[in-house]
Amino acid sequence: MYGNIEPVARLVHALARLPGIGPKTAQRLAFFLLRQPLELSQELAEAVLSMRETVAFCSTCFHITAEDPCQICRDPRRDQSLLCVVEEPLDVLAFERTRRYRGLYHVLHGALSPVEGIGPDDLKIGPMLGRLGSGAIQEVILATNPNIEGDTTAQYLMQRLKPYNVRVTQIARGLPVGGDLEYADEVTLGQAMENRRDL
Amino acid sequence: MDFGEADRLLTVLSPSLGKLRVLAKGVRRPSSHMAGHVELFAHTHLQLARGRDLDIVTQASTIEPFRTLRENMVKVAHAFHLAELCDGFLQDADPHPAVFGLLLSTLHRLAGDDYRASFAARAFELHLLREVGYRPDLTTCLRCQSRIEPGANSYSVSLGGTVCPQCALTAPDAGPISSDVLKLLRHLQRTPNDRLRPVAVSEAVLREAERVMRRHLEFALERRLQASDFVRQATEAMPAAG
Repeated sequence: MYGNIEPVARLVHALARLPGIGPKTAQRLAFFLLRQPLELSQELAEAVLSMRETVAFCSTCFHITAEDPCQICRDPRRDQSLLCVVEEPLDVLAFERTRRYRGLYHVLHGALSPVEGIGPDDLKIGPMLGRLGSGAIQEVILATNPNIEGDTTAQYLMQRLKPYNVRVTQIARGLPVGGDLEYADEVTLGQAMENRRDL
Repeated sequence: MDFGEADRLLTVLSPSLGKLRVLAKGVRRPSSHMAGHVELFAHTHLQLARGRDLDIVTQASTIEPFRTLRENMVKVAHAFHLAELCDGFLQDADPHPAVFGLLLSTLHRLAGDDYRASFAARAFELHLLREVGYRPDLTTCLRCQSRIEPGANSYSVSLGGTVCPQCALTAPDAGPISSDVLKLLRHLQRTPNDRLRPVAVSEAVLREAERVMRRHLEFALERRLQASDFVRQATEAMPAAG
């Protein structure tokens, strides 16, 4: 395809393995880099390598971190009695952006998906239960995605959390900011009505 | 399955178009108008636009969200099992209105409280197998063609049904099947789907029926059923709901 220009083919092939990037996009990116100053490629290559070499998962909460334990787990100002359970590290970043939550996190690294063969043993559920042993955590907030896989995961966690003496809550469901009632589906609208609150 | 930045690739079963893979754009954003209408297991009205490779969902509105399914792990595990079977046994774009109707009625049974989830699932499996040409024979010995009498009979997945006690000694992969399980499976197979009513069946019989059917289904599909493992795990975690 690229004649005997093997380095180009190699980069296109490598880029096409990234999620959401097909062969055409990979080709466009590769040729873009070829036309840009060498510094851009150097910066990019160094950034990728340094990320892979320095970033790992926190051994407590399994969020991404450059130091173990992570910044959130180490911070004494965070509320040590609250544990928010999420599916992915990106969900932690989303909650941190809200600046409304000051407790701890636990990242499951996925959700139960029987069809994709992801079972309870593939998620970080054991370490999560292990964290409850000390008794410091009073409330576990289940913040899995509001879809079937996320709800199934929350159901499963709820069962596993029963023997522990902790309050188990789930983040509220309802209408998104900027949403339109007319387009809302029955499940969302029904939950929004059930979970209404006093003003 | 997630696709691109915020899209999702859906597998849908349509009464007139069969099994299709379609692209729902932007549904992973919270502000998506469509997200709640294209959830797993929901019965939905979809408007599709022909795409180059994949058809694209342009409008979606829910007919029945099966909300109670998602509130019960055992029910949802069984729904995953039904979906896996439909996906495994049906070919793309091969319309099968009877299977569509069967799936819809079984999802209604799972969402309601009248049927045990595993009872509804076994009925679904037997009717699905008939529709796709793998109907097990539960009345005659598949070796000597004699009528199966109550007793120590066996079930052979490679022969596709029951084997009498004499032939079981030489039949390949013949495993024992109790008279109660045979009675249950025959009842489910004989009763038209729309006339099926809940029947009191013991836990042990339901469990054995599940094992027999699972072996049969996995043999026919030539692969392991992923959702069955989860059904077991979910039932162990919530025994009362199975």
